Amino acid sequence: MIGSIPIRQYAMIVAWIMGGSLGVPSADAQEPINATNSATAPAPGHFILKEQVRYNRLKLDTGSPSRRGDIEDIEFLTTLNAGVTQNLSLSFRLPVFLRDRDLDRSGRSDRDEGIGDFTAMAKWRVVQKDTSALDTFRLSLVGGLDVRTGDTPFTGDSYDPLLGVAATGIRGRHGVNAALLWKFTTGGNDEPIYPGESTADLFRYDAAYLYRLHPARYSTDTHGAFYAVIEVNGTYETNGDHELFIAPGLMYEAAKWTAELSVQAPAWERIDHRAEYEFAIVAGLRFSF
Amino acid sequence: MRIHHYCLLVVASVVLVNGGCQTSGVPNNHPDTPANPENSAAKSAASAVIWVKGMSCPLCANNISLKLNALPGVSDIKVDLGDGRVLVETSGLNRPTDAQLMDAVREAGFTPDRIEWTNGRTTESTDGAGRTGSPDISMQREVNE
Repeated sequence: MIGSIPIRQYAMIVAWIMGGSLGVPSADAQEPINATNSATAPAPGHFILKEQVRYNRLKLDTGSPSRRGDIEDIEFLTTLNAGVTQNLSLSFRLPVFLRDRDLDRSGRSDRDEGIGDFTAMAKWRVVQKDTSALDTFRLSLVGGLDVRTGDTPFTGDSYDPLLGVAATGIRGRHGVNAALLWKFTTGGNDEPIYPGESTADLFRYDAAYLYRLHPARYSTDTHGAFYAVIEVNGTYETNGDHELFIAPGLMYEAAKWTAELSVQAPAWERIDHRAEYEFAIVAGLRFSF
Repeated sequence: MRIHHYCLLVVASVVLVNGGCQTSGVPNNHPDTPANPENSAAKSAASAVIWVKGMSCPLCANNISLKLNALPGVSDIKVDLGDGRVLVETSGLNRPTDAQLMDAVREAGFTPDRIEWTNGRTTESTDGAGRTGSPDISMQREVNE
């Protein structure tokens, strides 16, 4: 239960919201699905609302024996990007979790729900090289703050500065994204589940390749485009935990909205202080207005 | 904040998004369009082609349409992503200037190369990228036709 709303009803409400919004005119250009950042941004005075539903399956094998077991999270991740000036944009992100746990020791299951840390970021584009009709290279600096919500156990329970860089290059049907982000952790959760929730600093590194499947060539009749996406997403924490994911996906981008689907699977893990990912499935919609 | 409060916030934000989008649509039925023969301003209709660099996706086309449609006198926009060509139809006496058109393209996040009006007048962008890049020969031919 989430307050007075059962999980199933809540999921239906979100599905209705996302499905209903497909019918309205109202996306982030060629931004990867799982990466934390890209060098793209909405125009000044315009917004991009991104709603993602993530199914995360994890295994906790560290910490107190009474806490160990399987974890299934349904995460509703809402992100609002706002264009401020030609080269400056702001983003605000809030995750909501519905958690099912199967505890190894007691054999019982429990459910919980809560709100994860709120993230506010600013993105400043420092390089823009548009070399032809389609081709572009952009580089942005990003900085922000992870703000605790105090909603244990979903919060990192600290105010953590963020600093990073993102680059996006598009040439014809090919797009490449790379992003680096360092989280300077000032506090932390005693029983972390996700990367960045412990007292250790977190370094995120993402790379993505996008290939435009259809249409092969744009024209005045182009109203949308299908992309195949392959991402590599890494998290390294200064306590030694290190996890690397491979994430294939599909994306459809229309003029005012984008739909995305991805599966994220760990390619390599060395985790001693928090839960290990088994896999994640991500579906999302973005709306531009 | 409880989850159902959060849910209400999401619902409210989507309603706002819908409302905002409905009010910011492309003014295809602009009162000054040539489709209204009784409007004298329609007689002064003109069109311009803006050659733009860096428009790599359908969303880019939307961004540029939104910015250009906000300019006075713009009645219709057609974007050809493949060639980086944006056709701007204008009408009425209060038409956008070249500088306004180029600024709108820059604000949308792209680089204007040049503007070609139907009367043959061409304005080159002063952008560094605009000066260094030369438009594709086939694109040039198409415009001249």
